[in-house]
Amino acid sequence: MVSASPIAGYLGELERALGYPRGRRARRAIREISDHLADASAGLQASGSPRIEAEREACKRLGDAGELAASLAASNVIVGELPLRLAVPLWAGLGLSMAAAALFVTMSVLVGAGSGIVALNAVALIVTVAAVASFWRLQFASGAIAGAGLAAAGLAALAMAAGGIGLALLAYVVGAGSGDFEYYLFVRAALVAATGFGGLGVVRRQMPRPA
Amino acid sequence: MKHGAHPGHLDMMLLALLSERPGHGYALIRRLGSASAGAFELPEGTIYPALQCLEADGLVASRWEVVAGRRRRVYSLTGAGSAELRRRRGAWQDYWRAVDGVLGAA
Repeated sequence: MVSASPIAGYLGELERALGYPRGRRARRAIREISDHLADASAGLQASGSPRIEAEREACKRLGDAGELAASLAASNVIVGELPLRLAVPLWAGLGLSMAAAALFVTMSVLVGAGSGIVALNAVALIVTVAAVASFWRLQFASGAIAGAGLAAAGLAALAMAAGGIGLALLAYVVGAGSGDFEYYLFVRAALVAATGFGGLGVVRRQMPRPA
Repeated sequence: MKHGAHPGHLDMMLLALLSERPGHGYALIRRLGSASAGAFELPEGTIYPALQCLEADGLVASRWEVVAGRRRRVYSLTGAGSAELRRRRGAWQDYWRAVDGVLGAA
């Protein structure tokens, strides 16, 4: 498919070359380069170049997108040069912890709010929040591993968001009585749903643009 | 004559440009071209990894600012960057004098 805009095509190529998930610095670099291309193109158009020609020339001056991505990666700042042997267990741990958290939530809905379950859920939530925070910070070079982790994290986050909404509904249903139980469920539902939606938001931001 | 730019030299030139005033990436490329009379022929994208490295080393700082109605990542020199620029200028001048001495003697 031929992109109508050379700049959009260039940015898409750069993003794919950078891989995903992308960290904060990588997203910032893409934003800066997008601004750069817009400025350069505007300058060329002001000099009389047609838009498409100006965009093409701006991209050409910036240099090859693959080489730029490699330079950003080689700067050891954007991608973080996380070794594969470290990336695999980190992704596996992240996926497992999020899946475990989702499982704990589901189980607690099924079996009730015993004190043991409460403690487990508290731990699961802490682990999940930490995992999402890590997910936010970690930057990976391998597209295949990152893609699998992204899919796992997305599913886990979706399960948590749905679980949170389910908990809220359960709390509403059992709310005819009074006491700590309903209050606890509401708080937990809010935490779980917020964590799940937060995770979904993170996953969404990391998704690659279609070619 | 057009030249490439050695990565270390590009870093030094970026620090020098930022010592004059802060600027965003595109403006720095324009200033680099203007100050060197277009002597350096380098892909404009080269500047971004260089700026990222300088920032990671604490020599420059950056923040989003609105410039001419648009949001821009503006870079400025830090105290450590000023000291590093002084050091690199001194080393460059020593090197230049040494080469010039050899060329003059030949």
